[in-house]
Amino acid sequence: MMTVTDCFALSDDVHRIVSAVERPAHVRKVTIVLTPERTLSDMTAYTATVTVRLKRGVLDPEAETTKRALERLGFELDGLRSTDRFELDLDADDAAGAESRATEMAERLLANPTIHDYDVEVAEA
Amino acid sequence: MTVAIIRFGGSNCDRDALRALDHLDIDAEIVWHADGLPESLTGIIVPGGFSYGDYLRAGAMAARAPVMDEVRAAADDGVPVLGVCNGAQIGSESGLTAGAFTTNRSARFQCEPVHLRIENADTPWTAAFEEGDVIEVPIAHGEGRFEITDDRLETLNEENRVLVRYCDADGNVTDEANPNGSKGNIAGILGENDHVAVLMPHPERASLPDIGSTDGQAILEGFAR
Repeated sequence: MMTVTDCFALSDDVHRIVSAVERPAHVRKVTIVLTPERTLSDMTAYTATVTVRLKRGVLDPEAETTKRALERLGFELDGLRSTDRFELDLDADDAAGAESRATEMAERLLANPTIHDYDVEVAEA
Repeated sequence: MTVAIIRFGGSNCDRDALRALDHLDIDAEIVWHADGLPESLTGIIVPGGFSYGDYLRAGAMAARAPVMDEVRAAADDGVPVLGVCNGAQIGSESGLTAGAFTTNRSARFQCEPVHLRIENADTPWTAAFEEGDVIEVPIAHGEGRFEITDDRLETLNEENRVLVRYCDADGNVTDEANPNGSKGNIAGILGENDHVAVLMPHPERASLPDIGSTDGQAILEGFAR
């Protein structure tokens, strides 16, 4: 018998399906049949690039300090913004699937919605 | 029946918290986060430090550790929860409290005594005080600047969820008395319920008479109320 836990070894999509199955109390097991069309080998490899930046108006003391250091070196500049960039390698059915998973990762961990904006770009690896 | 002080890799105020609670005769123990919370709890401290080396953002990793689901469940059951410094960062990252704590206006790590004005004296943490009382407690953080969207700040104020604000020795909440650029001089806030609170200053470092200020004792005594 396959448990939900076993599915961690499978793709996220399969895990999501298994997690979503409503199991009435009298049903002791749920059998999931994987059709060949849904195997990992048919998926495409993508790299999703997540760029996380402070929202406009949120003070960035490190960027300010970096800007001042550049000015001390004799450079002239009007502003400096720093961002965090994450490159995520993942397999998905299509670009939209890769983007939605990367977006969820940004929402849940990579960005803090209180202070950050982010954008996601997807390209075939 | 004990207060659980949750230790993550990189926590470093766990033993300070234990010593302070011992001094106050409040039963407490340090709990390794991966071991989960003990069965019978009288409270939870998420202590200060640098959990997970402050990777990504201070508190971001610990906030997603499984033990925080247990903390949320315990908080929902009415167990008092106090997040201090890194514990405050973990609390806000995990959604226990609103807003975020980010890089100090100075871009430096600051370790210094500060004055705090009690904003809401009707909580377990501040029941020993009157609104407007001033206490002295140290801060020690590089990422303590409280940030929140304007509309959520308004809600915090309206709902009286601000616990303490940075102020001068006379209780004036001024920009000069704001050590890190926190919005509204906010140093500590409440969660959805009064028994959940986070603050950047360290009450456990102001609890032992041999060290100096003991103004932090009354906050920790919230676990005995």
